This record gives sequence, C-alpha cells and structure tokens, in this order.
Amino acid sequence: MAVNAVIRVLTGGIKITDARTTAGETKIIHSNTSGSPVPTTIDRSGRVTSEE
Amino acid sequence: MPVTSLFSLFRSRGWGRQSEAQLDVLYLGANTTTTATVAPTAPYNGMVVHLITFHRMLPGAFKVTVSQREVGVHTVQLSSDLADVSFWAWVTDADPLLVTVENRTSWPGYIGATLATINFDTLEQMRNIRSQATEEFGLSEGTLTPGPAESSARRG
Repeated sequence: MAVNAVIRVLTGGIKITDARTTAGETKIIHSNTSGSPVPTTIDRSGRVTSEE
Repeated sequence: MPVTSLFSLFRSRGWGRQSEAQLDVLYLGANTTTTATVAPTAPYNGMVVHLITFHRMLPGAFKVTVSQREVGVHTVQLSSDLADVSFWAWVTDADPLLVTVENRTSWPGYIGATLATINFDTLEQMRNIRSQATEEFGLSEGTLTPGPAESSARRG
C-alpha cells in the first residue's frame, strides 16, 4: 500500500504511539533533538513506539 | 479561571517543566486525513498540552482536530498561515492526545506543529499538582476543557 502521510516527531518530550491515515500507510519518523532518527518498535497491533 | 492564567499559575509555582515539542506532517496526500496519537516520552510520564501552534501551511487547506478522552473534541479550521489552537489536556500513555490533520485540497500538503507542554516526571506528581490546583483555586472540570473554536488566531 502506498505511503500517504509522513509524520516526523522530535522525541524530546513527546512520542507518537500510533498513526492512522484514511488512505494508504503512514510513515513515522522519530528524531532526536539534533534531527537524527532514533530506533522505533512496532508491536503486533501496529503501535509505533520510540525506543529513545 | 481562564486557561492562560492557569498556565501562568503553573509557571509561577514551578509546577512541572515547560517544554515545546515539534511535530511535522512532512507529507499528507490530497483529500487525506491522518491521526497521530501523542503521549509523553521518557523521562516524563505525564504532561499538560495547552497550546498547539500550526505553521508552514497553506491557509484554508487544513482542518485540525485535537481530542482526548477527558476533554472531548476540539476542531479548528486553520484559516491563517500561523494559527494557535488553545486547550488544556492532561495527557498520559493511558489517556493520549489525538491530533488529526485533514488536507482539504486536491494536492499533497505539509504542515508543522509545535506543542506547548508542561511535563511531569511521574503520574503521581501530576495527580498531586492537579489536585492541589483544583483544591486551592477552586478549579472545576469545566475550566480544563478546550477553549472556544475561535481560538484560531492570526499572529505575526
């Protein structure tokens, strides 16, 4: 399925645990305060959690 | 007590840690809606989100809805290129904040958001401060609900 949304969050204080889009997939990028990506995990239900 | 002075109260008392967090929708397809579930991250376990400032977007292109179990739903049509959405939500992992962005145009879009927060190290700390504020200043649950829909205001 095509990516129809890309969301980036700086993990200094908040995280995105889930994201849903009406059409297509949502790609989530967790970044640290310097903008570098940080590892994330996806559980069986599709929830995305930053490991930082 | 208005929400704005409630924030001032927290600041003057040193309750929690003020922070701003960046959330970018780097790409959102035409006529598409996306919902992000936002929660505090380590080292914090609770936070008040009291303002989201949206920026770098095409005026009129986006409709934003913030919702949380405790405060209900708050929808704002972003009519200017820099818009504030003001409300007051006590957010935890168990009671996260949902931010929904709708791209109402027929072409892909981009939008940036800055969340103003007051962070708490522990859930107990947040509960205690909330209880203290409620007791000391007579806050009712009604004062902790979202502001009026016209909270979207042009700035700068």
